Amino acid sequence: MWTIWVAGQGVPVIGVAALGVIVGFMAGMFGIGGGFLMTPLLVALFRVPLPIAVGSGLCQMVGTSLVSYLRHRSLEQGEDRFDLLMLPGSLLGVELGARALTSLEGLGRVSIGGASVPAVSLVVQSGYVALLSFVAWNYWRHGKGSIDVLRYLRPGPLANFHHGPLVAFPRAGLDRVSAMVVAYIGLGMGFLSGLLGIGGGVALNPILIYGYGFPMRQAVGTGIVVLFATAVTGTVAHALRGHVSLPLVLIMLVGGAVSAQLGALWSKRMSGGMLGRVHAVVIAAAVVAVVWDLARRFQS
Amino acid sequence: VPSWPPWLYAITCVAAPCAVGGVMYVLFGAWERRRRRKAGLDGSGQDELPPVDYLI
Repeated sequence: MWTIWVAGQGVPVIGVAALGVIVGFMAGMFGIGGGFLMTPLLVALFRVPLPIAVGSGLCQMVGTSLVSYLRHRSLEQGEDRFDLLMLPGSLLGVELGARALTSLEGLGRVSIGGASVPAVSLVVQSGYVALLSFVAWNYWRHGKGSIDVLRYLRPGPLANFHHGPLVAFPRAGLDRVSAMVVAYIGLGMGFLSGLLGIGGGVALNPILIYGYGFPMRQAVGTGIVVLFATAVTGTVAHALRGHVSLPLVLIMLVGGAVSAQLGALWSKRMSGGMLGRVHAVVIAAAVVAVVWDLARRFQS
Repeated sequence: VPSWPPWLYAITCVAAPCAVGGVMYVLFGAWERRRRRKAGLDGSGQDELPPVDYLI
């Protein structure tokens, strides 16, 4: 079997290509970067060292988010103005999140029930599990038996703040939304990205759908510009430290760039409720992987 | 990691995925247009069934 070497670790080419195809499809379908799937799976399935998994995952996200953006815009899905309003706060939030992570690293190790784990792993992975569980539960609860047309008639609670400059999102059917609130959401998403090492799309979509009342397909097409910017910033930072394996990325990307577009097309053909339920199942699988990894750390 | 200057490697790590993504976008778009032409659709996307959300 063909193998490439990543930091002294043999990685099967076909396995990595298959992972790229699967994660690319999810990224295109749900308008996310896929970092919450890619990074843990590279580590768990192929034993890629964590810093290289994070750096290579971000680098792969540069390609898939670019393709997802182009394909969603060709399908008239997504609000560019929402992305541009979030972008400055998001980039600032990434820096704040990274500083918070550095502070947590200084806390050393904690002992629970006789087992000792780094405090940063415990906090970050617990936060990861809590965030993803909440997101999955929301998708499942709202997707079950929902009628999407109601969202066109009833904007979400965040759309009722009318402070500061107001902006319209015509594709989402919203005409007076506070730009300041959108900018603060960008700051919060950026903080989560910097702290948890994820693109943030997985947390943004529920805010758009249940907070603002975006139709599901408009939500999955929104936020991709921010994902792209976050991925570029993260890739540069990790590449300068030698934490990106370009051969690994290119193998994942060849299939992933096609499957991301197929995923975007599928998002157009599925009902909003079904899209939400599938999303919930995928996120729940990621939660199980993180809990399993955390339990393994405690045992060892 | 090749023995390039770090800044050159960082630029390559951004440019290469963009290039691969761009090529795949163009190829996939050409395949999709060909598929639609073969299926007798006009290529605008307006003649397919509307999304399920609008079919209530």
